[in-house]
Amino acid sequence: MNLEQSNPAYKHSLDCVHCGLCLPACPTYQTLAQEKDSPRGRILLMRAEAEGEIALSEPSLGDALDNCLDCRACESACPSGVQYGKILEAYREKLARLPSRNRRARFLGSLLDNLIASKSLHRLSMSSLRMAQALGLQKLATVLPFPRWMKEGLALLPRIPKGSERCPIAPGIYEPTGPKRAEIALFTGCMMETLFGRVNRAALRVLQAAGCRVHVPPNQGCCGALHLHAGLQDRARPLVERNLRAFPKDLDAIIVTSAGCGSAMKEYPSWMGQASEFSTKVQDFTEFLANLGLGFTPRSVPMQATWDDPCHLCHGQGIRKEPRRLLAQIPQLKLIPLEHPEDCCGSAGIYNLQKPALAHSILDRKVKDIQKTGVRILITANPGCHLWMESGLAKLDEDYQVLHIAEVLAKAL
Amino acid sequence: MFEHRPQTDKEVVELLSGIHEQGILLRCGGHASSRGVSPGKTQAILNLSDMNKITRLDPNDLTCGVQAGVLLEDLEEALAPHGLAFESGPFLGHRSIGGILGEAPPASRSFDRGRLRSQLIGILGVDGRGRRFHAGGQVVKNVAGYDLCKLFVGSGGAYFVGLEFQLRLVALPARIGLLQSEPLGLDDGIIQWRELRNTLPTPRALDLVLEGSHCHIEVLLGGSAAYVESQIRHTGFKVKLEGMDAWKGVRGREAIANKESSPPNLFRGHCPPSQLSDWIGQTPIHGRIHYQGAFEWDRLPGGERPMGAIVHPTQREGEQVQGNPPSDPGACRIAMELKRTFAGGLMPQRLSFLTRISRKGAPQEIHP
Amino acid sequence: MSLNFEQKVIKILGQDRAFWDPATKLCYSLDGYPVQKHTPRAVAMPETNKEVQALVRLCLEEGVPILPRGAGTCLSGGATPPKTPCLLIEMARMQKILSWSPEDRTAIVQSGMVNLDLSVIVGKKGLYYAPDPSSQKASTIGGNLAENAGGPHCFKYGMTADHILGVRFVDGRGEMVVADLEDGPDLVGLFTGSEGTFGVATEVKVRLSKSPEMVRTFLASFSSMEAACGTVSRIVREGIVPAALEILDHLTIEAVEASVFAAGYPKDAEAVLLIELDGPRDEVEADSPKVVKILKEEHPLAVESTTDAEQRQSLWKGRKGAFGAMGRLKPNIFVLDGVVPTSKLASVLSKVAEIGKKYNIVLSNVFHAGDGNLHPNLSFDGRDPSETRRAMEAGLEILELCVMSGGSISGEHGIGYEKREAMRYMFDEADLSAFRELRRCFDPRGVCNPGKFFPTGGGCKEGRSAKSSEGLDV
Repeated sequence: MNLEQSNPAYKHSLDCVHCGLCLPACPTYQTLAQEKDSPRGRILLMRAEAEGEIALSEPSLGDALDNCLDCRACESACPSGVQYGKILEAYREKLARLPSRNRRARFLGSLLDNLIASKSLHRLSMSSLRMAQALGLQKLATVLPFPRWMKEGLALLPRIPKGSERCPIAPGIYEPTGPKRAEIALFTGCMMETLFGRVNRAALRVLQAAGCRVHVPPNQGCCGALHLHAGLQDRARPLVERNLRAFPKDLDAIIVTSAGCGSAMKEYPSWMGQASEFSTKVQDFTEFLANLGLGFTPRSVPMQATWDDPCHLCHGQGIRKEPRRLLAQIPQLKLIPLEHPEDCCGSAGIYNLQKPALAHSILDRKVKDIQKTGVRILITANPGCHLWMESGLAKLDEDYQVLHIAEVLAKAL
Repeated sequence: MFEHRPQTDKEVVELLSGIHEQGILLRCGGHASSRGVSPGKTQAILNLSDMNKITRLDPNDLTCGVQAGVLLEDLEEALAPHGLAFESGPFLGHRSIGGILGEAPPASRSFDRGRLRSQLIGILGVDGRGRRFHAGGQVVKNVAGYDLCKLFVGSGGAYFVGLEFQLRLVALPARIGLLQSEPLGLDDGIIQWRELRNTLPTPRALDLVLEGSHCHIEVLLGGSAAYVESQIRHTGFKVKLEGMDAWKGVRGREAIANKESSPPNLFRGHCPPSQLSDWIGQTPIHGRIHYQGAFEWDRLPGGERPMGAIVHPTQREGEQVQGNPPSDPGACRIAMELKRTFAGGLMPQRLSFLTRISRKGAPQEIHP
Repeated sequence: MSLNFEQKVIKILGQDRAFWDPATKLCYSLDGYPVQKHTPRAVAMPETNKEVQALVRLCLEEGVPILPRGAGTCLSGGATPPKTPCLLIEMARMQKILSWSPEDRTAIVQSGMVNLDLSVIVGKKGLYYAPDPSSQKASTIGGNLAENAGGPHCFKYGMTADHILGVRFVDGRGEMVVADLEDGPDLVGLFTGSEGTFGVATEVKVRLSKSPEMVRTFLASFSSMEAACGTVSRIVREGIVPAALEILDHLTIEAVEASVFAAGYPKDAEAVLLIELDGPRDEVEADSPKVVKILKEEHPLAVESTTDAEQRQSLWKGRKGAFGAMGRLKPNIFVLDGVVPTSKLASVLSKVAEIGKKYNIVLSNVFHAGDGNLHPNLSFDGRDPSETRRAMEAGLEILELCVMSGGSISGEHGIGYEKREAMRYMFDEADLSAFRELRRCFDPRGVCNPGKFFPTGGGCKEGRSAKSSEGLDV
């Protein structure tokens, strides 16, 4: 039974009884209808690998695991409480270390490091992309000597918001507008900061109005979630450590506006074996605000909108009621329920760049569901989903608007 | 012609294996509504009226076991003290259980689990080659083995003879009421009937009774007193019968008429309710339409097949068909295969079970 | 140049719907029954009736067995490939609703349609598809049809067989057959529950039911299993027909409460009884006090009841997830589904517990008490051969006990691999031989899902070769 000790992922995989209740929850199974693209199938493969039935280097095994969005909808559906994410991420790390995949992993790693984790490069690339998009130069990328998947990825990049929307918050300490009710920090992230400065600014204003003294520490950065999902644990470690150093110790909460980051940051201890004190303070923006209470009387915001649960909010963090509760407090805001609100949109970190065809068919399902609601405003809480669904909706004849929940709440100030 | 009256399954086995070997054709004789028996080729009759024991009654499990010759009235008598009943389709007490299950036409209560095919949970059969076998069991929920019970129900015994049956029973509701509407015009009646199909939550029966140029609606209700009361108010119909009289009241044309023999031109089949109004009213019809669209009525002039309806093939006049062949060629081929496998010496043309044994007398004349 | 089997499959379906890579084959090597595994030769994903027929005909030519598969949630190994490498026909791509009529309350669906998806579609008109196996979120109508699936609400509404009106299938000769309940012998009834041994169903005509006006769920906990079972008997005899009567035993309650499907069941109870009344408002309201009265007389630890949809869901959530939740106890689990007459429930259950002790196997029980359908869950570690053997033996002994008590070896999961040896408890050689004859009418060469259903060894008295119980008669 040494296998269970030496391979914690294997131990988790034993919780699965192969009942199949995860199948309907899995976006790739729903799209491809293949057992190997279901959580049950992938767990079986990973368990079989540990037991020596299939080799890690078997290409079909790698393909099957690559296809996973890591949206963790299966965890919500699983009656045995299988911690799927942990098994998958352990195997992604194993795969990344395979010689046959090493080059690709290194490339992906440096791409993530340079474009996402490094603030200056990230900002620069976003500005140039924005410019390229504005000038219609995106097509140019297709003739440059990039790997094929990356070329496709570039062609699929979502619209980059304009400079004024991207402008980040200046680090510092922001005082509450009324009496102080909490001492918190705002995690600004990488994508959120460079692409969605407007969201972070809206969140800051709402938190101030709710009576929070908000720290925006200067040296914080990428949370490392995308590295972790890609099996690049080693590259994630310095990023985690940077954030541990950056945040002050005596805070009531660390507020995250991106569901994917929040989910990863809450799980630092199980991944990295450290940072438990930090992690217990991490709260999603909606979670924190719903529990604290708005602390101000919201103004009416006459609009009809629908809410889409980001996977890493509902499945990753179990947060479902909080955002709905917050939105319900805004007078004249009518929330029309979305069908399958907890289904993944296909964005899944950088999945949409790695598996564009599959990501697009998953997106199509989401877009159809949004169309069915009849409303033109979609509210969500994760930057990846935000951009991805926006790009899907942009193809329709009607004009749709995608908003982060913080932006909606800021309208009610 | 010789009539066999076996007392035990062993005798039936001997008889049928012998007949098979000698190539003698056998008819399990008796009456059935319009199965077009061709007596000329019948060489022997198997009369199961002496196999008439209730072999088991477990009121707490709502099940019982009966031999084929048990009369419905005897079974009902045994069940009554326990507040239980057997959903017997359109038939009244003077029919044998074997005949009821063998014929199993649709009837007023034949929807959802009211169909006779849902009442048979186990069977002891002997096929035409004298092979004795069981299928099913004694419990209401059971998926072990192939469901040969289903092959028996409604087959007229074309594939094998059922000797003993395990039956599912129902507990009688606290209050039972049979309601009847005033006479209605045909168009009105159809509209009201379709409306009631949608608004009445769970009627035990809902029949549109056609009487030529006019019609009326009959509703059987069963349940708690409060529920039956509220449904009576909902329909606005008059209560015609209550209690066991009501329970037995709406069964089908045969039961209502309580004739000694079913009308020879009775015509049974099935039509989706949504298509009914397309052709009712074209010709004056006497008959009734049941809740899910099963119907029985006098044959239309000229033997026309109603639009969109599946007419039970056994009811087609004059066709020399074996058993109950389906219209789909693939299904027909399997039916023939089943006949080749099981029927052996059974049923020269069509086989009818001995369904009409009355306590009041000996088996009746079998030949028309 | 002659094509090999795999190339011929590609010729029928194209490159992107035929698979035989190691990962795919491994993933399809078993269903929800963890004890037996065989990899298929190839996996095909047809999208039309014609393609299914072409695949079956190809298999007949090549002598390759056929296994139709829906979602692979079968608990008896019905969807586990046979030992002889087969062509696995994955029906999950055929999941459309072809037509439905709210007035006639019928629908024609492709057999790969997921059970609950159908209810969601027809729910817009206040209708639903009544059979609700615990796997209904994932399992397909075709799979439900093959196994004659049950579920908690069978007690009132019947099994899958009571809701199937017609089937289109490709039989073991490669011919298309349309069986209709209203037309000819009841081939529909024969096909239902035939576990894929008669052919591949492609379309199913089902009956839809009206959603009940009101539903009230009761939850009562008891300090003894006898009291819970006694309550069930009394309710049934009273003429009350609850939609469902479910009992969970102590071990199950603990496992459920420790899982994500925790439903707030009292952890100190020996048995929890779930009762659901549904139907017209007046009927439910009239029956409720009667149920409460019976419950009170059996001295429960606690009783609660609700008509609130969300709370009902959470009471049911624990029951529906019970099987998966039991997975926490050991790496593997297999669940039996023997049936006993309801009046014998309590006595059989105590004997079942003794069997668990005798074989030293962790044994929990969650079951459909209304129709006496037990669900003993046997938890074991499949990597430990001795424990696996003990679990299997305990399972067989429990099934024998069910038959001895006047019951059946299977109420809803089917025979498959799991219970084929136990068939002998219920059926003698003559019965089995009638079943074999029946099967040959549909599948003369035994090409459809071979090796299941019939017991191995000893049988085969009609001159069939020894290998025919597993392989093909070719």
